[in-house]
Amino acid sequence: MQDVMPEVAGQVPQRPAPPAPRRAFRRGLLIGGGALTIAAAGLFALAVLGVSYASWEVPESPVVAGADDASAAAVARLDAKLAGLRPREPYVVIDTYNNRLRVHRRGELLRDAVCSTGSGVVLLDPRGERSWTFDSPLGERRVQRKVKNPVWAKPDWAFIEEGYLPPKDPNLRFDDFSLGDYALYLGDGYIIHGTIFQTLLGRPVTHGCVRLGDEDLEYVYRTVPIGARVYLY
Amino acid sequence: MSTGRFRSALACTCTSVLLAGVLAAEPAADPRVAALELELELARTRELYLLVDPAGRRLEVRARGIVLDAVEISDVVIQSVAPLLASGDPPSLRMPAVWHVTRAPEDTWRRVIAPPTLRPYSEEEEEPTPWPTGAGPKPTRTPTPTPVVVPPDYDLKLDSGWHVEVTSVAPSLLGSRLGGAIASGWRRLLGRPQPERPPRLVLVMGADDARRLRHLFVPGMAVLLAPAPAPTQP
Repeated sequence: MQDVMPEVAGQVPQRPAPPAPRRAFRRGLLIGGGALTIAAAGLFALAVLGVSYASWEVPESPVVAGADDASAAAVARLDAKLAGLRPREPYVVIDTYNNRLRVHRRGELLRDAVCSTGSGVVLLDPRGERSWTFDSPLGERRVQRKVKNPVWAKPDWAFIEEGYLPPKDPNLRFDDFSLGDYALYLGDGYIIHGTIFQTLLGRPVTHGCVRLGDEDLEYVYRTVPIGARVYLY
Repeated sequence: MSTGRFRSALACTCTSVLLAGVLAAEPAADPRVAALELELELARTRELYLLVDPAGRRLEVRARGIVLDAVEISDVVIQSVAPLLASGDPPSLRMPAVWHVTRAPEDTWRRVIAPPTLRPYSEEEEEPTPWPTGAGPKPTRTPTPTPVVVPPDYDLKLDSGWHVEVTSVAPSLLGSRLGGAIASGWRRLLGRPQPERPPRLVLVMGADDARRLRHLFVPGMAVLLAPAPAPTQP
């Protein structure tokens, strides 16, 4: 014989009430969700009130409608003018970021060499008078003169950098070694020269000059004429 | 020649000269011609200039019409301030055009050296250098190289009123837009002035490319916005 629960007429059996922690959790969820919704709505309202950067793709290059013969002739004429500005003699291109020096002639690469260019360091004179930034210059320069066995007249910064007062006796400024065997002068004190610090080639360590290894320096000295253009970038 | 005829001849000549000037000043209809004319002006100087081809995704370092270096741009985006729920029209990017950098990124990465005091120079006192012979006058020392990390993200101000943002990370669209709009709305709610937000040309490229271009963006550097013609090797 089975035990049968007695049913009370008209009464629906009720689920037992959840325990207190669960009720608190549900209430927390409700309150938290409500607060989040209000916050999101507030932020959205602020966003609608404000402005911000919107992005667009760049349109394609305009199609030249009806590019006629006159336009083609003008393009050819201007191209020829532009080509006329390019050097005909060998020229030098110096990449100051990657520390590379390349010699070209009429678009042909003649030599690709590792060099050292400006360190970018800033030197301050403690007397508060001057400062120097050791960058290699940018833009086009010309080889003003070429010298074998050059002697360097050290400028003031070369002494200040080492903690010395620049000497008044000019004879103390001469340095027979630092420039190596050859020097190509680019103006404003910038020189393409050699170095005794061969292991530092390829790194930005100079005061703005361009240092080369011995063989590359000799090649540049013999190949690049006076007046040749040097592009530094 | 009578005075009257002289006057009319002079007036006719002046009119012709003025007309010729007006016609010469009129921009070329073909953008390729206009771009070449602008480049020719830049190439006549000894300065470098940058050619940015937004549609062609290319940036070139040039001098005298020679391409010294080129960088592939992975993405180019025009950005301008707009309400969140209204798309609006993008600002007009007129091309070809020459812009000049008016504010370069700050050189915060530079190392600064400053000897505390200066003492009188003495040849004997000078520190030895790794000169192989060890004799004779001492060569100048070279600074010890220290690794320098140049930031790959920077912002440039140009004389066109536009900013150019060079970045190695593509701008996130929704997140930054929503965040910017909320900040702007909050300022508006408080009655604070909105910061100046000019239109921007965002150039996304590799981090190393962005670093190696950074030193070229000096004040005065010309940026030619034009379709890049067939590359001319140096």
